[in-house]
Amino acid sequence: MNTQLMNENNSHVSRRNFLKGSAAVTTVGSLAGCVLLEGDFGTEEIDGIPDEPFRIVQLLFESGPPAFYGEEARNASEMLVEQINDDGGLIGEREIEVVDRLDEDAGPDSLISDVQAMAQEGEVDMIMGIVSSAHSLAVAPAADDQQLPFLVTMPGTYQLFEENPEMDHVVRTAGTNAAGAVGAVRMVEQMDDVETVITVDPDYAWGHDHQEMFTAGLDAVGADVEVVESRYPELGETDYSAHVSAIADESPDLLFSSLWGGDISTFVSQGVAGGLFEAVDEALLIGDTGAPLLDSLGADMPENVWLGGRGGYQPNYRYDEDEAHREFVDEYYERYDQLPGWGAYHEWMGFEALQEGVERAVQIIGDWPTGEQLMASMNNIAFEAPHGQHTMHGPQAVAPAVFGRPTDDHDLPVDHPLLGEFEFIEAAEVNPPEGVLTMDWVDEIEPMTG
Amino acid sequence: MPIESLMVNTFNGLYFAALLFFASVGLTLVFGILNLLNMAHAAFYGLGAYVAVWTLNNMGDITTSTVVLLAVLVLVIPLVVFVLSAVLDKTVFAPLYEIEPVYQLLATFGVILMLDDVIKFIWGASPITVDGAVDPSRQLGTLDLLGISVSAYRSVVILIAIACAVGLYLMFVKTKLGKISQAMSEDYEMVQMLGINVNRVRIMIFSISVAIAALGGALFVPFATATPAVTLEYVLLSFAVIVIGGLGSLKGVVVAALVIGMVRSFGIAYYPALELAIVFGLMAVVIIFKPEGLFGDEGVVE
Amino acid sequence: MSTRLPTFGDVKAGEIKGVLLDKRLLAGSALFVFLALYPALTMNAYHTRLLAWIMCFAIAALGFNIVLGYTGLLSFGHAAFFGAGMYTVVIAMERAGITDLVVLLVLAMIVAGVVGAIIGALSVKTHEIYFALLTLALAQLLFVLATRDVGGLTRGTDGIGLTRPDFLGLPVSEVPAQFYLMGFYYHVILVCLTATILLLWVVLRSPFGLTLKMIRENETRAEMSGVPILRYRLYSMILSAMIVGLGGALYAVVVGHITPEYLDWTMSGEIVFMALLGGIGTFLGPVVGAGGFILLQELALSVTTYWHFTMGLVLFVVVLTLREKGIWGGAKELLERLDERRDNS
Repeated sequence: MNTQLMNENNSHVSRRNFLKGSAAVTTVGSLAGCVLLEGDFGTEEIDGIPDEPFRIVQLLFESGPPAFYGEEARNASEMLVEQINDDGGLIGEREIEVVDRLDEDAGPDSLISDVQAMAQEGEVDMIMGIVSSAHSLAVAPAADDQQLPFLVTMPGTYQLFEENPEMDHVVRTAGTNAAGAVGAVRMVEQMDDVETVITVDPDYAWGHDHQEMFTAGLDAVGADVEVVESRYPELGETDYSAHVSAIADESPDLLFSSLWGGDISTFVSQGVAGGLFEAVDEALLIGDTGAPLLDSLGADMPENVWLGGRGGYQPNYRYDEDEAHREFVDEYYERYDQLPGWGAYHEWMGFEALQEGVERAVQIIGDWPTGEQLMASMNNIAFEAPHGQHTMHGPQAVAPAVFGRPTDDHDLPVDHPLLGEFEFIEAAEVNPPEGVLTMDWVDEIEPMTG
Repeated sequence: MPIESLMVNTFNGLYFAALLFFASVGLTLVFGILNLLNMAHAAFYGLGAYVAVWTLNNMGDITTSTVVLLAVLVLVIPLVVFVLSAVLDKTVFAPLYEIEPVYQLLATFGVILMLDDVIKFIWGASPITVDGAVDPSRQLGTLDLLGISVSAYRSVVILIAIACAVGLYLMFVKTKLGKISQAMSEDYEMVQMLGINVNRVRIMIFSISVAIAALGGALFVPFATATPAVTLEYVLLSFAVIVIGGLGSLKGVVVAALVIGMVRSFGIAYYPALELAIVFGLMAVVIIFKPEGLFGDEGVVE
Repeated sequence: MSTRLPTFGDVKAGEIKGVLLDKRLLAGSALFVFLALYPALTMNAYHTRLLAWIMCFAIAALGFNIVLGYTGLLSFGHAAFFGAGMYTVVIAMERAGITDLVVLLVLAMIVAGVVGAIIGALSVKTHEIYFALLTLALAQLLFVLATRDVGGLTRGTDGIGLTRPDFLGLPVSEVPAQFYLMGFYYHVILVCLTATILLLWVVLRSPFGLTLKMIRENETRAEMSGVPILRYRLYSMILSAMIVGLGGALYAVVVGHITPEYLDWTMSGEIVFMALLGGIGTFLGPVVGAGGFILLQELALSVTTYWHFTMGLVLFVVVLTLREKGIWGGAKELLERLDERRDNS
């Protein structure tokens, strides 16, 4: 009954979106036609580019436990804004200015009220960022109500657009947590001899969502795997030894975890001390894990783990092949003396989408886009990312899943391990098709093809 | 349950109890003897953790000797914090002794907020860990204890906690400072009238208490990560300990730390779903059935 | 240790009181009219929202102060009542399909009152720090239930979004978001705040309020004169919880998205902070404190990343210098002193 209702709701929504989309195409098409007739195509002679810079306000954790994630994002944005402005700005014409940063730690009340103030004063062209999924769920609808463009760059909750399908001032350039969780299912499909799994996820929505999707996905693909125990340590836990010893006692074949940030680093280092990684055959750590974790654990990093998740955000992933990625990593390392983590990559994707979107909008309408036009033009685009094309389905990015194993065999100038033996899982295998609700899809995913 | 896991969980519980003891014993002493309810007490546990990470990571160039590193954690850091807290007692905390417990609680909550940002200002907001080369918990490795393999470093921490508890007990029953303190906990004004310099005793007790919290933070950090969240977590935990044990009782702190440590360790191992509720549930149950805590009616060392 | 909590100035002789009351009534009515017209006069949606936010917490802080200022008990668990009010609204709308604001508010107050009765029944026997920590622990257990999504009602930490309720059969929810707040909902909050102030004014001067005051000032004496202390404390908890629940319920619609954060002890801490900042020994202090706290936090956030430090310093200084007077009591005292000086010269 409930599902049916949801589906009806959904088809209704997609029909509306479709209509809206076709209307937009028609308008844009006719506008483009006029522009072409006038022979004004190209970016050089566009009037209407505002004189003042494109003003962005970032929403990030600047205090509290997730602040390190915010710090990576802030670093990356400082670097990227400088680079973009060195080339003249967006489409080479309009510089970007980050006019303010709001601390997410102030809570949703404050964020929403600031959104209102910004919308009203009209001195901000776009807001950008957000780490916390819960904050994104609270702030995005408020920004949309106020018609303040909001580029969501980091949180992973699959509910953002599923709960608010009609937002037209919001886009998200980060893949949803489905990519990580279902990516992990795909990894398990390829493993031999995995019969028992223990999941360890932080005790809030991120952790529970991952556990649910992972478990449901395993079930759907018919893997002969049993999740024997699910553990939810408190967010910000400092002593995991009780969890570690209990898992070691069970010695499951596989350990799955979406712990992230300081939590995963504490968990793994205490796990190493407690002999956890001798007791399990394999571990899949998917909580946006990468360079910072490898840095903090150094030589202690166990070898029988896969790290990764939604997106190829590992500094040495396709480092040699992809020039843009190489430049991003090198420049970041030179500036901040550390390799970029997920917060930095997510922010990078956001700026890529922004540049691409502005260019597309200007090409079509021959004028600087309004906020709504700008956000619309970021829908359904694709741009280069370390993992190849980063594609937007409507306002939502679909990311592939990338996993790798720790190895000391790498060329980057750091003395801690990085990842190698990369496994790439296409976006289509780890994301629902457009218009399908994530949980409905996860319940029915097919075994991986090929 | 197999005997090994019983022992491992007991060990984990003991270790956690040791940390809780460090974080909360000073809180109960300062309250019991000086009548100051210092909510910011466990913030010094967090401060100790940050100072320790920073110190250890900067020692890498000088020495990586385990003995020296341990000496820094156990002696140097508490000593530095001891001096710092003597200064704080004369300045920030001095006016607090005169006001109601309710206001003490709120004013010291203000101190927590300030200390939070001081830590952020100095060390940033990212979690920081001790480098492998100067991490005594990695250097010491594991040892076999009655057939189970446990972390040697954590065993040392448990022993230091025991030594600290015994040391405090001896201080109260043997030394002059201890005897005066006990008398103060019973009748502050009487001691004052005897012509004893209560301010000096106050500074000593306050600084020793805070230094023990910092010692706990310093010992905690090689096996964990220093994050801004540590402060608030231990503020709550330390209040749970002293309320369950009974305000102002040394014995209460030891027993309550053991109870929470064990219940949490076994609870997480066998009923992981309860984790978030364990400490608060325990605290609620004890206050409801024994409103003064387990040993609340007794003096400091009875 | 004894609690020497605030003492309220003695009520002055009837004659003077009448004049004063008139003056206050006049000033209050003027303020009410001004606030009611504010959105229409300025058309400033941000200010309207900020005022709505402040007024919701003013209601909560007033409710909280029944327990701290009038009964002398420091509760660190009032987030439970605030959150209960919020969750009642969103769950009743989503699960039971109730969309009428009046029904929702009444329901929220009842649920918060029940939670208050339960937490109160368990905790009124204790006092001082034990009371503070027991209320904290019990409220925190509620936080755990919400975080854990027990019963599938709260959807865990991601929280639940909220649609706009209707009013007495009028489909006001269909007007645009901006107008809903500025033209309708803001005024509902203003009326609720006014009603709360009037209600508390009457209640706290009734025999019931005077009994609470007697308990706070001298527990032993109250007991000897036959006052059932525990029962009165429980009543005060229930009344307090209902009013805080009303504040939460009203706020749920303003914020539009409800997460377990509103049940966390840091939320209780904020309510305590507000009441204290304004002055727990004054009648209107909590209202001033809610405004002061929210404006101060917004200001600190906009000028510094070290806003924790700023807030901590303010709390520390206010507690040490003004105590139960708070900024409201402090300001009144200052004015009186200026008055005296003027009269003298």
